[in-house]
Amino acid sequence: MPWRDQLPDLLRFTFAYADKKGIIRDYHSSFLHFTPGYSDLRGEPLCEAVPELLGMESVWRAVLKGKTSFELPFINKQNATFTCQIFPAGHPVSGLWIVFRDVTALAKQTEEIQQKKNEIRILQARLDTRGHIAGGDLIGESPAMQKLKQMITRLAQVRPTSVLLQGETGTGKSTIARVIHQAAHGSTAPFVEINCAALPENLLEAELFGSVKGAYTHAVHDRKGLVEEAHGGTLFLDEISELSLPLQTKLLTFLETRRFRPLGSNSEKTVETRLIAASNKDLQKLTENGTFREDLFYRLNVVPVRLPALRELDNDIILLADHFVAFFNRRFNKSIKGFTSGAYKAITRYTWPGNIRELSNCIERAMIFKDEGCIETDDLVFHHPPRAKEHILLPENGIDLQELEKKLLLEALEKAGGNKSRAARLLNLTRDTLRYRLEKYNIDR
Amino acid sequence: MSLIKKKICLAGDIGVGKTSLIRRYVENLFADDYLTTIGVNISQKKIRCENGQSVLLLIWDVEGFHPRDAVSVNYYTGAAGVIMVADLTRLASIEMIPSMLKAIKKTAPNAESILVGNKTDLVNTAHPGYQSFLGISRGLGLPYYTTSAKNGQNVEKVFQHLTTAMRKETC
Ligand SMILES: Nc1nc2c(ncn2[C@@H]2O[C@H](COP(=O)(O)OP(=O)(O)OP(=O)(O)O)[C@@H](O)[C@H]2O)c(=O)[nH]1
Ligand SMILES: Nc1ncnc2c1ncn2[C@@H]1O[C@H](COP(=O)(O)OP(=O)(O)OP(=O)(O)O)[C@@H](O)[C@H]1O
Ligand SMILES: [Mg+2]
Ligand SMILES: [Mg+2]
Repeated sequence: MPWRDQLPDLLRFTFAYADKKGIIRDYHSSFLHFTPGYSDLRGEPLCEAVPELLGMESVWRAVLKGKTSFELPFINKQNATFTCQIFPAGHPVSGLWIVFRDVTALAKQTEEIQQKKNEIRILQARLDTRGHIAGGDLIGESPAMQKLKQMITRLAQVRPTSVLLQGETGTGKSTIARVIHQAAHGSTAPFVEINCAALPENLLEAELFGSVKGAYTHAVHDRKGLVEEAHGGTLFLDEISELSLPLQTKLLTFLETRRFRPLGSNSEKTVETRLIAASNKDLQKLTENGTFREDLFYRLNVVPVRLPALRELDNDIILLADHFVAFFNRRFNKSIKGFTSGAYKAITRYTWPGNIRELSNCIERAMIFKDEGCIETDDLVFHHPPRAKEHILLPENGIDLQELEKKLLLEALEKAGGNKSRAARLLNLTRDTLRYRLEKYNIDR
Repeated sequence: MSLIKKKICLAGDIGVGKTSLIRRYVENLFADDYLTTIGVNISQKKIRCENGQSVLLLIWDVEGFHPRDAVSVNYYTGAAGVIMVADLTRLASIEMIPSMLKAIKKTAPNAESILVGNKTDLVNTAHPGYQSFLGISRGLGLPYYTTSAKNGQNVEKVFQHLTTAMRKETC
C-alpha cells in the first residue's frame, strides 16, 4: 500500500471528496466504514450514502456559498466518537471535503466533566421545583394572602378533612386545591379532578362512583370511579354547586361513611381520600333557596376557605402583575421590562371581575403583541372598562346629584369591605379626597 | 419501492429522558442509572405505514440543551421531525421549551414538532410541572403527550403521531 493511503489511519481520520451537487467523486477506502451497505461510492449522493448526512443538502449550498466549514462535533458510533466536518474544496471552490475524525479521547474527557456538572444541575432544578410545590409560587404578601398560605400549611398537616374553597371566578381555587394536595400528599399520590358542571347527571354518577358490567347500555366492563381512583390522595370536585340533588345525597352518604356503591353493584366499597370542593357561587345562599342540600353544605364546610377577589388584595396586584411579566417573558422568550407608571395605575384602578386569571390573560395578551420595552396603558385591554362615562345618562326629569354621590360613596365602601384605600380606587379618587367627601356627607365608617 | 428515510431528533434539557425514551421505543428497555449523552447517538428503527410502505427512522439522540454552554444546533439540520422533551419533575426543563424550539426551528424550519412531558410516573396532575407543561403546550399550539420511559406509557404513541405528521410526504 502506498504511504499516502496509510496516512489517514495513522492520523485517525478519513475523507471523501464530493462535487458541488454533493455527489461523491473520490474517497479514501477507510471512508467505507461510514457508508454501510456500499462497496463503491463513486457517483453516489453523499446524503444517501452517509446516514449522518441525511437531509443535509442545504448544508452543501451554505458551505459552497459562504466558503465556511460545517461541523457535527461529536457523533458516537460503535464505542468510538467522531467529528464530521465539511469544507469547501479547491481554488476556486469546486466541491466539498467530507472529513470524519476520531475524537474518542476528547469525548471521554468531556463526558467525565459533563456528567458531574449535569448531575448537580438536575438536583438543583428539582429542588427549585420543590419550592413551587410547597406553595412557593403563590404570589402575594397581603394579609389575606398570608392568611391563606398559613391555612394551607395547617391543612396539609391534618388528617384528611373536607375543604370548601369559595371565591369568585379566577381567584385561584383550582390552584389552591393543587397546592394543598401537593403539600399534604406529595407528587405521586393521585390528584383526581372533576368539574361537576362538565358532565350530565347520568354520566357523572358512573364517573364518580364507577360502574359494573351491564349497569347501563355501554357498560361492557367494570369501571373504577374517580372516588376510588383518588384513594390515598385527593378528590377535587370543582363547581360543586352544579351537582344534582340526587348526587348530592350520594356524596353526603359517602362523606359520612367513606363507603360508596358503584352503579349497578350490590356491594359497597370503602376508600380513604381527601375531598376538596370548590364553588364560585355562594353555597349558603343556594341552601336557602333549596338547590343545595344544607346538610351537605355543613359537611363540606368543615374547613371553609374564602379566596379574596383580586381587587381586595391591595398591593398584591402589583406583585402579581410583575410575576406574570416574568412568567410570560420566559414563556415567549422575550425581555419586556415591566410596566409604565400609567399602565400600573390602570391595573390598580381596574376592578378585575375575572380576578387573577383575567390579570394573567390581560398581561399575556399585551406581551404577545409587544417585543421590547415596557407595557403601556394602551397595550392593556380591559373587558369591563369603567363604564361610567358612557352609560350614566341624565334622566328626563333630572336627578339629585348629591344624593347620587352619597349613594356611590356608600356603595364603594360596601364593595371595598370598608377599606378606604380600596374604595377610593373604585371611584378613581385619592384617599384624601375620599375622606373629604365622606366627611361632607357625614358618612362615618 | 425504495426505502424512505426520515431523520427525527430528540431535543431537551439534560437528563429529561431522551436516551431513555429512544431505548424504550427501539429496544423496549429501561435503566435507572443516568449516563449523560455527549454529542449524538443515532439509532434506527424500521416501521411500516398503513399502505405497506416501509420507512426507516434515523433517530438522533442529541445531548441535552445547555442554555449557557451552547449545544451545536447543527445536529438538527435536515430533521423531518423534532421531539421536544421536558422532565415533568423540573420546571426549568419545561420553561426552556419555547426558546429551544425557536432555536431549532431556525435550523430545521420544516420539521414537524411534538412536545413530550416525560417521567409521568413521578408526578400527578396537581404537580406544578404537569400544570406548567400543559400551559406551555397549549400556548404553543403543538401536539403534546405525557410519557414515561420507565413504564412505557405513551412512548409508542409519540413516535406514531410524529410519523403520521411527517407522512404527508412520506407514504
Ligand atoms: N422515573 C423515571 N425516570 C426516568 C424516565 N425517563 C428517564 N428517567 C431517568 O432519568 C435519568 C436521565 O435519563 P436519560 O435518558 O439519560 O436523559 P437524557 O435526556 O438522555 O440526558 P442527557 O443525555 O444528559 O441530556 C436516568 O436516570 C433515567 O433512568 C421516566 O420516564 N421515569
Ligand atoms: N396566588 C396566586 N399566585 C399566582 N398565580 C395565581 C395565584 N392564584 C391563582 N393564580 C393563577 O391565576 C389563574 C386562575 O387560577 P385558578 O384557575 O386556580 O382559579 P379558579 O378560582 O379555580 O377559577 P374558576 O372559578 O374559573 O375555576 C391561574 O393561571 C393561576 O395560576
Ligand atoms: Mg377552577
Ligand atoms: Mg442522553
